[in-house]
Amino acid sequence: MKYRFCNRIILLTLLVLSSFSCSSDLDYNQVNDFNIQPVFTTNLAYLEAKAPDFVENNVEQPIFGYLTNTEFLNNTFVDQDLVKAEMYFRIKNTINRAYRFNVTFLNAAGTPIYTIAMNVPAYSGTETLTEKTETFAAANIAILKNTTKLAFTIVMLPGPPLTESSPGRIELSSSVTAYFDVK
Amino acid sequence: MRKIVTLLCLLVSSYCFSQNKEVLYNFTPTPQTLLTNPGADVKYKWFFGVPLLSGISANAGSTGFDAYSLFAKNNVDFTTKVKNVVAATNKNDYVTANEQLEIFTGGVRIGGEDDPSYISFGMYQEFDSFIYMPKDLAILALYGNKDYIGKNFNLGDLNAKAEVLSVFHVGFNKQLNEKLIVGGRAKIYSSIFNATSTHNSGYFYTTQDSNLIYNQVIHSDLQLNTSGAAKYLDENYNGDLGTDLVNDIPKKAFLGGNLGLGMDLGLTYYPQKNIQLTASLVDIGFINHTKDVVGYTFKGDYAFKGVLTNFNEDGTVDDAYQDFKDAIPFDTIYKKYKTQRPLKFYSSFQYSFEEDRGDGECNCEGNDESMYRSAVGAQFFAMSTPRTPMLALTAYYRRRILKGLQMKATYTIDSYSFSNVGLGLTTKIGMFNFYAMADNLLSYKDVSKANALTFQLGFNIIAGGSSK
Repeated sequence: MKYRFCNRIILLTLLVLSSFSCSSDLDYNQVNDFNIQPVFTTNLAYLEAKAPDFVENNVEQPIFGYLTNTEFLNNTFVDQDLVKAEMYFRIKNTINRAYRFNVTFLNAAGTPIYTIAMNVPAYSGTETLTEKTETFAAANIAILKNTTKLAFTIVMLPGPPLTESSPGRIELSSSVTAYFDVK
Repeated sequence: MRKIVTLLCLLVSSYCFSQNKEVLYNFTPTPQTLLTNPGADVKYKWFFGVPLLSGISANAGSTGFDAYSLFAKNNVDFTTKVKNVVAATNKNDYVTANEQLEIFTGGVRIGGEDDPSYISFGMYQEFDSFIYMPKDLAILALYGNKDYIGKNFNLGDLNAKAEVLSVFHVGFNKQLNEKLIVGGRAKIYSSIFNATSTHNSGYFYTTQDSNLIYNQVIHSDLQLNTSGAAKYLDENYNGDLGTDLVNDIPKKAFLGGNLGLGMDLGLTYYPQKNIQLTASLVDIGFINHTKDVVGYTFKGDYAFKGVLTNFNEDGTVDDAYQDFKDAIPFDTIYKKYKTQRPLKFYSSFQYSFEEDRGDGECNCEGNDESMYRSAVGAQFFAMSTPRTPMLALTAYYRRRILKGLQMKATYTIDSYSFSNVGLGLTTKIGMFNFYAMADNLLSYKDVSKANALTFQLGFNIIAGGSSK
């Protein structure tokens, strides 16, 4: 008797369990809506020039220039998904001269398509700090995508003459923060 | 069928499956229990499985999240769901899937009634995958590094493996005396496809710097080994994938793949008539991947100082990107490698009661040794993984419900959940045996919220019975 009762309970339990299998509504198509917006930041450029670097054989050399490739801007990821970028420049100066700092964007043909200009005041006892953030958003992000080279130039403006033993240095540090929208 | 099952499992593998077969283990009326313990106490004269239908099993599991949290139809943005899952999990959470399909199986008793030994043999196909949550890389991909200045992203979080293989096996099971049964099974593995990336390390961090804006360093020691897919991974491959797979897979399944050797060991011991102890080790083995191997490495160190810097090692100003590619090259290698099979350990303790006094309710296939209607027991399971072993503890109740119908109910505690209730039924009508087992039954009220699901089912023809 007890045995049969036991079996009935077990069979009933099985029946109840088997009728309770279900699932919440799932929608796998929402994978197509996947959209991430990572923001990466990294160094862009660093330059340091000491005061004597602007003097060669006792003659001032007022212009420094560097040209760099920006291959990393010319790939499909940047082309399709870069929506905004901020370039940050920080210039510290301890030389008793004022400078103009230019960053020129060149396209594949070598034609300048954009220039960022920064005026750096002369040192007068405390280190001068010049900061600039250039933002490229929907309206002008194409400039970055078309850039293949960056030209950095430092132009020393007129002032008290420098010698090979003049103190001080001018230092440019910069970074880029890139906003992506990946669908 | 096999391909469909494999494909289905590949599809669902992105969400879940454990390899513990706690309901099947030591459920001796089902011959497939011999695959979990070659030393199981079986009582058949002979058996064979219905080809392709004798053993179908799949299990999937994920710790830390479930399908519902990703795919619920609840108007929450999918990207937000992914971000929530990443936030809720850690690097030791994983997604695992395992599927087995028996192609054929059989077994026969040799020796007399007094000195029984059994030989069993067969072939099955298996799919196995184990993927750890690559937490830090997911954060980097989702958010970037801007808001994580100072964080050390661990590249070693990348840890995954997947394999499709076929297994040929022959097992021997012998009753040494009234108390002890031992068994062993030799296996030949033929790996159809393997991808392993389990020994990765490295880091990436960005911190504030005084001269440069950032101090940004990457150290990478990443490697992915693959075998069996070289042809398809070749960038010049433009064949018809479907046709090529149909041609390739059977060749590789029947010993044409990368071969390996392995064995299972097991025993059953009765210290008293109604007390039983069992233990087994399954898949002590390895596979040598020598054919069709392609690997990828991403190894090196680099401190990124900017595209233009007079800190550059060689003083050049415009080759920073090239410097990076030289420092951490993405290389393709063709080197053989070896993989271990995931080693499984089972053991159990069982106490039987309710002695059958032949009241007519059950004559149990005329097997005079099956004298108990009920049993309770405990099982322990452990499996090796690329990191710490997966462990599970099970309590169970077994009962002969009707003539030819037995059940086993289990309660399991493991890394997936503390409320895993499983149930197995095996019936034998004449010589025809059907079994079905599933666990995590409580989650069947909403399977989308289950962290793990397992099922096994199959059909066999069995002569002689076992109801122990």
